Amino acid sequence: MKPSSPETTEDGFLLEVGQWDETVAHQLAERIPLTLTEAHWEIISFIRKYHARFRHLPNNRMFVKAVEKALGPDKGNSRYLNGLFAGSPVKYTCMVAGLPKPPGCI
Amino acid sequence: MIDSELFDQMLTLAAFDQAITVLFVDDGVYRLNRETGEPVSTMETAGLLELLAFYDIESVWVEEESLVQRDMNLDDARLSVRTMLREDVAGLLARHDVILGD
Amino acid sequence: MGVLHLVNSTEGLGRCRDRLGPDDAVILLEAGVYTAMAPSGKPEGMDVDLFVLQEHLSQRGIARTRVRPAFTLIDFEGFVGLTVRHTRSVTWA
Repeated sequence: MKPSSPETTEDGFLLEVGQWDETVAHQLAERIPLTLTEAHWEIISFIRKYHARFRHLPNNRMFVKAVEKALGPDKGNSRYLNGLFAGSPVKYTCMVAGLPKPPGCI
Repeated sequence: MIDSELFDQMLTLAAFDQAITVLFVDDGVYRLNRETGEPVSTMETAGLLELLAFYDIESVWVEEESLVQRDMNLDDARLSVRTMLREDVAGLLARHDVILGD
Repeated sequence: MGVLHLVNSTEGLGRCRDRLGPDDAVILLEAGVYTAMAPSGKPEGMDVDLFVLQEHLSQRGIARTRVRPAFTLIDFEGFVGLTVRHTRSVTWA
């Protein structure tokens, strides 16, 4: 049986941040659509920790830098992140991670 | 929530490897207050200064007079915020190519 | 050339006063133009060029005769000239 879908904003961002869990993440990802792999989870888990720690959401440039600082240059580069997250890494990482829409995202 | 456009401009420039100096003056020094009363957990929330440090912004200054006028002091020695006198602010501004502020 | 200080609030002039360098200049804009009138906010100790934007004075119905002599009235063109001469600027809101 398909679990009930999480409620989102028009743009697809989770309405209730507290509702988030791995199942919800998969459901949010399906709508993009993205199939989550270990590589995605590494980035999703990073942005959740970043947001919890700094209560801040980065823009694209900051995000690349932040991932580079946390996970090294192999992950912290736009080619890698764009490839994983369909060309909109900050937007889709935040979306799947159940965080609000970051500033500057369309 | 650290949401000010000014800080995002600074962090973006820092992410482009530009050398950034931050100076807190007047009511801006209130941003240095660490929020209190939050439960201490393994994932304690960090303040604005930790965010600046995360993006390698290491030159962080606060104007002494602005602190004194607001009965604040920098007893929080965890972070390398340095103080400067108001009379030295003009000199600091003069040493930079671009000035952002609000 | 020094820094151009853009003062666009009534508190702005006081805020930039003690933070001016010798080659700096100050221009009053928007609500900042009110501080060009006597007697409030005497610009003593401000040994830099002081300007006030004519258009913003008129918009607020302030006659040029009420502007203290320390301030030079300039128009938008003059303002542009100032921003060209001073490559750096800081805003005091």
